[in-house]
Amino acid sequence: MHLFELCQWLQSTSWATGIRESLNLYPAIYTLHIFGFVIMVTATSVLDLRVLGLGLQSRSISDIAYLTLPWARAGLIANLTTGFLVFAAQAVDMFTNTAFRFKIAMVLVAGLNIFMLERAIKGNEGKWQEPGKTPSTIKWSAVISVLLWFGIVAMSRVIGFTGARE
Amino acid sequence: MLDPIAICHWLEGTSVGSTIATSSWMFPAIESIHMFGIVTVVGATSILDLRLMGVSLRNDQVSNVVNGTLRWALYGFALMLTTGVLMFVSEATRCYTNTGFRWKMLLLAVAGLNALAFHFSAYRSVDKWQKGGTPFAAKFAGAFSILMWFGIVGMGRWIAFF
Repeated sequence: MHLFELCQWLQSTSWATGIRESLNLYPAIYTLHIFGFVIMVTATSVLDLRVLGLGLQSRSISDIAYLTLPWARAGLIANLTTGFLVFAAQAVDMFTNTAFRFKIAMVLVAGLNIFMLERAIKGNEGKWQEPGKTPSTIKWSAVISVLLWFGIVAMSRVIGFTGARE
Repeated sequence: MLDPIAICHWLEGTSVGSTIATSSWMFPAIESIHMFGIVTVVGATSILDLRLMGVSLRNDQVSNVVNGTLRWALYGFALMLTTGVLMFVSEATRCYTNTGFRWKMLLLAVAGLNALAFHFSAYRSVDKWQKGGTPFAAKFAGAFSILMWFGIVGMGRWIAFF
């Protein structure tokens, strides 16, 4: 089946129709989508700032990773679940929306980036403790992470003005 | 007479207001920066709130967590306020008459009062509970603050639906 037809089917399911035609359910899910996002971005940003040496210098990077990543995961789960529901309610409009496609591309890169960062941190436990010892590739990963989160928010806003129900 | 609606119309008629309102890209761009600011505020304050609730960072001195987070909260707040004012000016009447916007402003004021009340009451005795558990007043202020801030984010989203 072509992806477009899959979107048509998704949008026509009874639950997707229910969300789309609801008065309060759609905004409520949308709000939870943002709550999940805020939690996830806060958690990963604390780690990113530590990696960049902009704060929490008295703690090791892996310490901060253990502290923040469970929150990031919880936020991600809330964000993905609600994001899928909001998508399903208007799958065809989203699938054909350029800003949405950019957003998903950025989400995938951001996900891969944080996954690789986590692996690098777990594989180098105890290293990079002192300030200035953080490898530049790891620092770049943190910069990319912050930039991507901003890009994802921006694309969401563009979607709001070019297609999605507001 | 200071009629709020007349003030709103005047704001929308200023060059800043009308430029943003008629531009195709300015509003979403400002809104993106607004989101960036609010995530910074909510993130920074939530970290502190979780510490005040005794949920997270229990081995860290409370005043250290305050010092570490407050700066970011203020940066975020400045960004959020500036972009928020710009958006308001461009559609003042709509905001003023919008239930979601009014709730958002109310919650914002309450969150501010909560922070002030905490700062001038429970926080004065912080040296007695720098590590480990926190007194009820601190737990309450933390939990209340998280509720208010997530309410503010939620109402911000809801402005579009009212």
